[in-house]
Amino acid sequence: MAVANPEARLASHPAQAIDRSRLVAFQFEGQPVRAFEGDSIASALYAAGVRIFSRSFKYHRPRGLTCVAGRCPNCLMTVDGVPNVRACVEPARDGAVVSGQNAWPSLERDALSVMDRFGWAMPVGFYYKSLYRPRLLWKAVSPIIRRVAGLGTVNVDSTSGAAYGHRNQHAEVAVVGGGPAGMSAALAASEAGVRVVLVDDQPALGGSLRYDLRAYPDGLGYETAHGLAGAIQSRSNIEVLTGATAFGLYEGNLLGVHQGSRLIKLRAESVVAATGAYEQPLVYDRNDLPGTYLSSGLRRLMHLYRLRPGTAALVATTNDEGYRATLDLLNAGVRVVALADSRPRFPHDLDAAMELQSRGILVLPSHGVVRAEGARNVEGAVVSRLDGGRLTTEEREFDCDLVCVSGGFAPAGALLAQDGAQFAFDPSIGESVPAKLPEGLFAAGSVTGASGLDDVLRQGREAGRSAATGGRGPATSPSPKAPESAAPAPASVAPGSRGFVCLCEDVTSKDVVTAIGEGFTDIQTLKRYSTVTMGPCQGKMCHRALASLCAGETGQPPDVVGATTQRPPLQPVPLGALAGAAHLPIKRTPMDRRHREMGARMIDVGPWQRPHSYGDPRDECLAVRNRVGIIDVSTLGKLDVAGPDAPAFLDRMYTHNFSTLRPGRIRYGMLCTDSGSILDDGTVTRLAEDRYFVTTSTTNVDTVEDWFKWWLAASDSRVRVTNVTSAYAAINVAGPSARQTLAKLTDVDLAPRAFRYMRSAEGDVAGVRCLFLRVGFVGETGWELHFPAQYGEHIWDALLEAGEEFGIAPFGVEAQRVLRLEKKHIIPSQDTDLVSTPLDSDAEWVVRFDKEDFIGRAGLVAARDRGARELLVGFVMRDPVVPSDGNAVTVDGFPVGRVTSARISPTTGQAFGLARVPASLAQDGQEVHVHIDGRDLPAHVRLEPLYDPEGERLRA
Amino acid sequence: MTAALKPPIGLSPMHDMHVRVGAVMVKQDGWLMPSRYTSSTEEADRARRSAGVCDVSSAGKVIVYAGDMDAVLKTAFGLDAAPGVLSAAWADGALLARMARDEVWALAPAGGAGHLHSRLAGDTHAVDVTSGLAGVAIVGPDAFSVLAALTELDVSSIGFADMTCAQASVAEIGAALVRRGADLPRIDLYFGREYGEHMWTALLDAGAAPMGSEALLLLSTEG
Amino acid sequence: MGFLLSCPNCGERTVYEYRSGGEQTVRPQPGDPAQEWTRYFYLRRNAAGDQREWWYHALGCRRWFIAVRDTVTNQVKRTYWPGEAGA
Repeated sequence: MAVANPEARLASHPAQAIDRSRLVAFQFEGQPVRAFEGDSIASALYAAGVRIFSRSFKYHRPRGLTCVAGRCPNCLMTVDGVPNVRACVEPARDGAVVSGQNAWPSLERDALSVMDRFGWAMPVGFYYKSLYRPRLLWKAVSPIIRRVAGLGTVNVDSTSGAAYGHRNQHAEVAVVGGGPAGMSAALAASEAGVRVVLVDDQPALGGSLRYDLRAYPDGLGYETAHGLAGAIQSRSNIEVLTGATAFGLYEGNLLGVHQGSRLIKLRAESVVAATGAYEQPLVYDRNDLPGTYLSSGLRRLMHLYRLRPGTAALVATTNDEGYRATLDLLNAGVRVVALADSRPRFPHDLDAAMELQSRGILVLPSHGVVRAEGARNVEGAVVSRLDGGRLTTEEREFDCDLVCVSGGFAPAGALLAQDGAQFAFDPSIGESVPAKLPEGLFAAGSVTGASGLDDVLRQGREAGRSAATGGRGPATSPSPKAPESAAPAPASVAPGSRGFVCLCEDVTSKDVVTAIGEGFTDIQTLKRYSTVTMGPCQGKMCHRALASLCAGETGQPPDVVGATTQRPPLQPVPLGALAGAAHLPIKRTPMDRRHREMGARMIDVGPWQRPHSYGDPRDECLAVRNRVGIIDVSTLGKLDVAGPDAPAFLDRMYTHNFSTLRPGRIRYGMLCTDSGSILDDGTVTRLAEDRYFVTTSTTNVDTVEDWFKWWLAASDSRVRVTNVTSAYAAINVAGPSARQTLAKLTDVDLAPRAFRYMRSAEGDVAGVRCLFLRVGFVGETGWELHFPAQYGEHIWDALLEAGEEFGIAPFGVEAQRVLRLEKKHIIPSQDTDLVSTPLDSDAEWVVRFDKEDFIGRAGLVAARDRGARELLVGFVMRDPVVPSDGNAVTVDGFPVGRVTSARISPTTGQAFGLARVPASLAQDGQEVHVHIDGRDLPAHVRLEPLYDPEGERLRA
Repeated sequence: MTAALKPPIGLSPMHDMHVRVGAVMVKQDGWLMPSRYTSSTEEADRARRSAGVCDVSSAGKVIVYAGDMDAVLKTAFGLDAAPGVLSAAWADGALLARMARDEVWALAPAGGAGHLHSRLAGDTHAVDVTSGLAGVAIVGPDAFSVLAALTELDVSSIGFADMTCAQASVAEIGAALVRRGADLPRIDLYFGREYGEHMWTALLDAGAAPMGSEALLLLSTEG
Repeated sequence: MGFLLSCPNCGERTVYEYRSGGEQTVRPQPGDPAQEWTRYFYLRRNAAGDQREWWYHALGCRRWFIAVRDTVTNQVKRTYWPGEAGA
């Protein structure tokens, strides 16, 4: 193969897409391939002699180019490591590395083609019928199936693949489809002065006009295409996206567009769907042999890429396109052995037909193709006379090396359907066309069933203008009736075991008939059972055949059979493109760099990265208990609550009172929902008469901010809530030497009598203004310092330096969890759940029922009257075995409660924790068991904190 | 007794990112900020051609709430015609971005928050968020396309006109945007400082090149 | 890729910038019978059709507003501040 064979190309033509003066070189299965600029990978390979472009999904049958428009699955290849690239629309690029898929050792000689002989063993519904029993069978068989069947392989180790990214784009008018209708719609919208984006999935604008050599009043087809494309390029308010697939139309006129390694989210006020129509293949025995082309595919090959598709052709058609393609084949020097038209009459009013007649081409009305001959490529074809649409035994065989088929054109209405357009079956063309469009959505061109360039261009202009001016377009432009003789005939289905309805998943007409016979008469369930329309083409090549088989077998009319739902994506989109750039919004504290420098093991706590520990958490616990430790608590939620009504507001929000709190003092607070469930907890510091500093737990600050603002939204309270979490770094300095450490850095009087537990003060630490909160989550003398975030590292460093002489150690989240557990301090959501109340969570003391009202009061009153069914208690294991969170608390082997937190106490060496148990068991010393690793191990309830139950150290 | 310590210096949330690529860091108004990465003229050139991104986290930022905002803006800043909602105006070196009828973000050069604060009187509530918000200036003709990779907000030159502002999701987080440059487009972006590394990475991946304060100064003195 | 919702302050945005606060309810007065409170805690109309609901512009202006949304089509008919007349 190796080099492009210039002989393979036809003489230059103005319609061609290739530039023969510019060469491109890429690799195919290790061999160099030379191409012209403008070639697709497939056209270059074709020129180099490649005819087998893929191996089929199940049977490994050879497949060749068919649609040459990126619709069918026959040319999926791996390009630069990206699997399932449609080679027929992928531009040939210098240096690209291309290989075939689903074949071993090569596409040409695929050892797995032996699968083709085992079709009998793989009936429709194979998985449902064969592999469900015994259950182990699936385990054994699935790796083999996965090896044998399928598409390209994703290289999961590859990081060299395309760097995917997203782009958001906005336009007043988005036009999907760059054919004549779409181009004229874009121009008309642009003339109205709005921003227009034109999306087309082909390498260049023009649609079917690109390869249309017919003469129209304004020139040849491709000349018109070039003219319109030129006019579009000159408009500054039209942005053109070529090689871009609009794969879905979502709520709010959002188009999902996939272009190379990019996902474009295109939001438009109006959308014009000028999506055209898909030419349909015919179903007959061996209709998949390489050398079988759609008429439009052949014309793309010949006119755009100047490739000679063969030497002798049989043409089979249901409509006028076959005649035009035949003329094009003759003009390209291909002999045409016969044209089989399924329609009964010769189309005398068709110019192309008359020319064929004058050139002596054998035209066979009332004939359909029944089978192709050949194993690796077409070697001949057999046609049969049709009688009232049914095949007869009057057959004629022709020698040929290519079969050109045209089964008519199915409007590409999926985008319209996704946005709620209604369709109606138009018997004159045998297709469903849009009948009613929602606001902001317009249709133009052959998607409406229109044919004839004039009508298509007019529809495009009207749709573009209406879309731009906010008008409501006609429901659909009435398409002029095609002349009787031009109306396509329904395609016949020939018998045979290798007549493929679905090329993607190797489903034959026999399979579909079997499935219908098994009772799958509804097209939606037939789809799921047979998998037709579920492959890479997503129904573009097979939906019509499926629907007509369904109609034929069940005797239902086409409008009753209906259509399968065409959900997005209409074309497979790489997951990488959907995911986009890998930017997880991770929150980092102002001391983050210090933690990493100190070798901290970082963990996710909600969206935050926090140090789990810097070494052994047990050592960190002991440092806090015996010396002094510091922990970065910048992640604590912090709210500034200010205004003349702030005291009353907090009284209403919390179960406790805060209007009675004196400035400079701190009180623990619990927030409940109105039904009495715990929402969050934290400390509330009164900074001034009308200003409070509220802390929340790390992951709940947004919830609490929303909550506060929600209650304020419906009231006229003069309160401002500002989330200042990000503004303050925070460090908790705790331990017997905390006071001495801090005293080296501040003039604030920290003496026990001067600065009591649950008091606050402001003062400088190492030259930075800090808010001191004397609180004690970990149960030691300590201060929480809050200060401007930009000084995070400065204060962290200063504390570590000042505490060095006292043996200071930083501690992480794990040590903090152990220390607080020893003090029996709860963590909401860890030790509580959605229905826990303060009354059953060891926090009854924070509920002030004597207040007339607060959020949660009514629910808590009801809970109090009901009495708690279960209570949160401490427990200690007899042996130092630590249960996991959620392990069952058992009595006599029956689960009665559950562990919410458990650890080994570094101070006592015991395994201990918190558990929810029935109220009857909430007695000090009550014996229970905890189920750990299949065994019930003894434990007892302990109501007091394990450490410093009187809080002496905390207040010291 | 407090020990003798080095004076505090403010660090931007992107500090580590700057240092890692060898930026020249200088002290400015109590903060250590990147003045250049390679060459100021090159960085400015790149911004003129495509897009540069400059860390302006040290800027003074004060959120002002007031029931009668028009009156407050008149007395405090001498603005006879207050900017409408989602518009911005200059007043005495500060950029006032009106994020809502009763909410203005006053943005001043580094160290300017206190000055802004002192002007406010009457029935206002002001919160200094200088420490809480990271800030970046995205400058250049490609500023729009850089942002279009990260936000669904229409940030095209038409959709996001000069001297307008918005709050929206950018790189999956809530952010405030102010456009403050017509000839050479400039959009300033403010967001929670905990997201500094996230946003900076996202902006660079979207095509913006890092630019120091010297280059930003060069560009802004050109007018 | 969800539906659009217009914040009275910021304008039209995708639903992902917002947090839903559920349908609008009326809180009983202290002292009202327990059944009223139970209804308020646990029962919602869950209308198939137009519903007045709370929305919070979490990634924008961080304010609450009311939206009238058709729960069947996700079409948002109107949005307004809670203090404004919702008729």
